[in-house]
Amino acid sequence: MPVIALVDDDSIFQFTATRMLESAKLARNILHFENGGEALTYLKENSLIAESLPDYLFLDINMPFVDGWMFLEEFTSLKNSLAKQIRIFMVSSSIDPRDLNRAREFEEVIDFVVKPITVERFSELLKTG
Amino acid sequence: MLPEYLSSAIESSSRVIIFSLDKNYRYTAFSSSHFQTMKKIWGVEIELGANLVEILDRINKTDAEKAKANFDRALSGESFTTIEEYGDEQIHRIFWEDRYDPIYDLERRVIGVVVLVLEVSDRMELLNKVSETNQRLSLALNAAQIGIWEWNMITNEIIWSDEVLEIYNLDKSYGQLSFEKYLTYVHLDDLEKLKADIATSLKNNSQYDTVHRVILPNGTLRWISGTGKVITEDGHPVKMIGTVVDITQRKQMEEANRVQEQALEHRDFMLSALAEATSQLAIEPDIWIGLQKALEILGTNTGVDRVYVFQNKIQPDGVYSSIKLEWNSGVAAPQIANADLQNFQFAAAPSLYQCLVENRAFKKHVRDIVEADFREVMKNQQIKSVIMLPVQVQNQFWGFIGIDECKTERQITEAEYSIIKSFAITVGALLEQKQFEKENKDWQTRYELVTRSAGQIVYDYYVPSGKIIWSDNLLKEVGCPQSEIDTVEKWKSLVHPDDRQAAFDLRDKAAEALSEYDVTYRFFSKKKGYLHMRDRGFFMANNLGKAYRMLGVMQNITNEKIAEEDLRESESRFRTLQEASFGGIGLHYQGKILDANKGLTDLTGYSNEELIGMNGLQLVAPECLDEVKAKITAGYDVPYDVIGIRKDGSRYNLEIHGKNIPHQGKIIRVTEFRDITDRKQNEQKILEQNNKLTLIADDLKRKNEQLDEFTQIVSHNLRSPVSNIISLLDFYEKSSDEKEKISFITMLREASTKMSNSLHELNEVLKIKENKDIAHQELLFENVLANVKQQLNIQIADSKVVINTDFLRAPLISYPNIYLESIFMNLLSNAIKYRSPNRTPEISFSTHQENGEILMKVKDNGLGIDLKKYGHHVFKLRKTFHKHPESRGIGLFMIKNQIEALGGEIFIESVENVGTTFTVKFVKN
Repeated sequence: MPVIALVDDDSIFQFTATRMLESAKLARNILHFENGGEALTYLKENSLIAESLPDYLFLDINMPFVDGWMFLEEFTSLKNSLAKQIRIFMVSSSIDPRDLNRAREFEEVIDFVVKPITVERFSELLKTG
Repeated sequence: MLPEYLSSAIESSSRVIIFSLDKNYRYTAFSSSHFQTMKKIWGVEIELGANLVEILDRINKTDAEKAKANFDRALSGESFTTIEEYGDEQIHRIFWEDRYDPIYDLERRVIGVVVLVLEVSDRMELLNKVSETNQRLSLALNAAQIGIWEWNMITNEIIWSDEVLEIYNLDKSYGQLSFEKYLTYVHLDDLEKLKADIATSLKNNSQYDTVHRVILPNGTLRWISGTGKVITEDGHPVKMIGTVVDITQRKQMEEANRVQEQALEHRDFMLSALAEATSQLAIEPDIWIGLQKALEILGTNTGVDRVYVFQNKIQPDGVYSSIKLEWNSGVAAPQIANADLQNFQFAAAPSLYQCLVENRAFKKHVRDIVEADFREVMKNQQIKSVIMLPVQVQNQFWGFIGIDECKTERQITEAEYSIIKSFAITVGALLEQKQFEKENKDWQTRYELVTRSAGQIVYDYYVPSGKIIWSDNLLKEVGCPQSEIDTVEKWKSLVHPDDRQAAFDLRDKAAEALSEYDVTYRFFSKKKGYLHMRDRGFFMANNLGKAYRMLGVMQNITNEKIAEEDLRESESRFRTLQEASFGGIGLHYQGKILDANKGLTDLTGYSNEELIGMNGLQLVAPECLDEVKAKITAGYDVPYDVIGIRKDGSRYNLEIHGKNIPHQGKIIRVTEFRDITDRKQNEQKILEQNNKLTLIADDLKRKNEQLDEFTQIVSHNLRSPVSNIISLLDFYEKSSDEKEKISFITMLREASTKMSNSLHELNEVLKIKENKDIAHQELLFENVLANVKQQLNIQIADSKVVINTDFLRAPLISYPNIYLESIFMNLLSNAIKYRSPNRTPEISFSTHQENGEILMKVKDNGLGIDLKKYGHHVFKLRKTFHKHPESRGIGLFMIKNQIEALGGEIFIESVENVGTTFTVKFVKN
């Protein structure tokens, strides 16, 4: 089972998502980050420890500090030094096509997901990913 | 007493007059003839006893005295004869031969005189004549210096006339000269011949002629010419008479003549030598070869030893001369290779140079040459005498001809000198001519090049014979050889039939008037068909004033003709186009209008005639002239606007669109004139509209941005909680745990509160956006800030922040109070919130004016923001950059909206851990 990281400042989303992932037994371990900066710091610190690194990362666009785009930009240069390949899901409550297009520029972004995410959706994503 | 018959004979003879006188001159007897005579001549009747002297005395004292003297003489005992002249002037003078004899008595005492008178007038006449003749002869002989001699062969005496003595410069003492003695004077070389001549003459009784020389006693030489004739008596030569003439002078003259003739002959000889030399020069194409030959001719004919030519060269440091040619007689060594004579510097021979440069001959015996070095050089060449003559070419001292005499010092004769001088001048002239010819040739070559390259054919038409000579390029240009148009008839036949009449008429007229002729016609060329030819010529008159020769130039202008046609066609097309154009079109050259269409007339109010020739700039308003001129000069070809002026002075908006067109080597400008008054007005409107639109567009853009932002905000800030609520509700429904359910409800409440807050904020923002017409108040920055400081006094006290203000430069503003308060509130609270823990917080507020706008700067020394990372987020909703418990991230967003709603702007500058400066631009209202 994969390690999953949730990068979002919305605590309620963190809660509901975690609940869904645990109940569906979709994750071995769930990592929580309030913003991109925290996530990056963790990745840097654990870059060589594969077990600590997430397999999947759900990334919210709108976060304070380092938002989703900023994270992705930094991640692009970081990913090659990581012990594991991380697949990223872009998450947002907006369906702005501009966000969709922008997400496509990053090859590690596998998909763009719109909130609210149902458990069914989660399992769908994690199966195919 | 005489016998009777004798006395009567005497008596009767009229010619014999006899009378006798006694001692007292009284007639003792007289013949009747005497009586008659006395009567006839003297008018006196004599009688015996009359005193003849007294009688004569009465008639003519002189005659009387003469007679008396004679009588006395006779009475003294002398017999003599006289010839007397008697008679007075009136009567023809008569000559009497009077024979006076004394009469003796028996004692031989003189008792009287008898006079026998013969009238000898005839004889006297004769004698006179003879005497005259003799005199004349004598004079003649004297004048001719002819002497006469008579050689009495019997007595061997020679009698000479005085002239002879003079001739022979003998004094009279010589008087008689013997033949032998004479011969001793004769020149030895001539002696034998003379003797022979005389001997022959004697033998043959013939006359001899002689010319021989004599050497006189004083040693001088005389030339004698003479004749001799033998006089015979009874066939024996008895005497010889002859003449002698001193022909010494003549001989001398002859000699002089001969010498002169020789000299003349020599001169003629030299002249012909000169002529030959000159012709050599003239015919020999290479002047140096010709000169060489000429020098030889001159040299051999003048008997000099060297003839040479030097040519000058002008160097920076003086004039030098070098020997170029030499003829040598063989007497002295040739000098052509003498190094001294190459680049001989005239400075070494000033006397020579002076002469030559003044175009005078330098004639000198070498020993007389002044300059030592120069003399040496000459001596080394064995020259005794020298002549050097300058050769002038185009009035420049070109060089010189020299003549050396090496055998002896010789003065050149005048003839020789003038020959050589002529030669020098001829050489100069020929050199000039050669130069000329070369120049001519050059010019001819240039001329030919030009005519050839210009495709012009030159012709020479000799009217009387009708023959025409063409220049070489005829074949090339027209495609036929000379022989095919070498007569005027042949030429005529090649002129196009339609053009013939006009061409010939013009030609005839020109020939009549001896004027120039300029005509174009079509001319048939076998190779090229009909060519357009331009024929220009002029006639020359003979001395009768009739045209006898024509020189002209024919030029193939087919291409030009074609071009002309094309141009004409295009011009007419253009004209059509012009007229069709709706605008005014003008063609101008250097400002002057060449052509204008109707449109321009309509536009400007000037008639077409007025326009043509007018200065185009007159159609433009004075204030625009500079611009127009500059644009014309620069060949500006983009339409531009100016103000135009019509004929009536009215102004209008004029669009000018000019274009430079090269035409026949000139640059002509075509300009289109358009009245754009309407358009200008429209433009104005459009501009205004544009401005409005721009404002609207700006507005829309801003609104769009804001809308975008808004959408973003809505979608995120509202959708987030909504999606949370949905998820939570789902959990709630699926949950059976009460405790869990309660926590879900709490979370639900949180989410809905978030949503509600967002909605509220959005509402606030909407209100700002909608409330553009919010009321403005006259505010003092100082006061509004004071108010805000009051509201934040706790935070100010806690943070110990120092607040500085400087509103002096712009203390006032007309602005909504709420907004200004909000701005101050947000910026101040932010600055306090984000102060640095390391230093005393300091915030400065300042205002100033710039370009009519009021700007405010709010500067703090707080934490600062990494603008590189977060610059784009600064004014966005819910963007916080610090983990600050109180940062909600809406303040800046709010005030940005407020500021922008009223047309202002806000900027941020910041450096992390140094501080931040916000600049607010309020729009001037």
